[in-house]
Amino acid sequence: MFEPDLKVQNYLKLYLFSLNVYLNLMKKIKQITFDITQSRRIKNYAQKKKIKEKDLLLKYQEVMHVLYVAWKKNYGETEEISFRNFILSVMKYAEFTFRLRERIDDLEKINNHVGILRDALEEYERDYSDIIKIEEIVKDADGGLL
Amino acid sequence: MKIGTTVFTLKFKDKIPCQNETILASDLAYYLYYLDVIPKELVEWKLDEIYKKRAEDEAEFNAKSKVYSKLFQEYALIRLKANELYERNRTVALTMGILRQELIQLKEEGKDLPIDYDKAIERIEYFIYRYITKKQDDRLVDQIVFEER
Repeated sequence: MFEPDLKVQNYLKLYLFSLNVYLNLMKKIKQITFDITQSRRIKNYAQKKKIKEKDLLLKYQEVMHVLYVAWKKNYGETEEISFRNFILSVMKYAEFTFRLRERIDDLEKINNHVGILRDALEEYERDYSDIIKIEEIVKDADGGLL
Repeated sequence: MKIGTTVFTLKFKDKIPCQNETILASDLAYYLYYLDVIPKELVEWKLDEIYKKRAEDEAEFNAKSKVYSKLFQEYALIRLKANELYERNRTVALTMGILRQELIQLKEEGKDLPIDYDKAIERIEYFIYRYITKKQDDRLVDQIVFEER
């Protein structure tokens, strides 16, 4: 079997060791960044919805309980779907329901705005035509001085 | 269960059967916005039902999205048009001082015109005030801002 001499072996060991350290460090950094993102996500959400983080965690608890009971009732015994996968499929359902609600709100918002702008358009046209009428009458009377 | 660096510790009513709690915790942080939508009746639903409901919602969402994108186009156009008209009125209003002067002069001369002098002058003054003195129309400034997540 091929065996490198001692010097090369030592170099190799050192290299592998430092590589390992580096990879572990990267892993840790990745995990920390990820954790920060998640914490921030929770904080942002609480701020945006103006609820306390404590209440948010209570809501978590409730939802998780519902999910757990649902899972236990339907799939817990046969275990044809794991708990996490069950959560993920429920969340996919929730995602579309949520997006649908958002879209309906957006539609209403944009409809209102279109109405407002239509009113504005009409008003501008009306103002303009009033003024132009007056201008024409004056023009006729004045013999085109204006 | 711990979520994030600021440790939010969570205790559930039952022991949650999950091998990797960190993954589950990050799932939870990710799906924050959808928590409100999960109904209590979920307990009664079968998985097929959940899939079916999801498909229904998705179809409705797509239909609504089509309407929405059309409406958004219309909104953009009408917004552009309104801005144009407002600018036009502004430009016209710049020279309306002369017309007002003219009208006042004609009124003093007592010339017979088919208009009500006072009303016309008032109208012009309003026009000038509306499009020059008064600040920009709020309706044109207000924009729809859609939340980002």
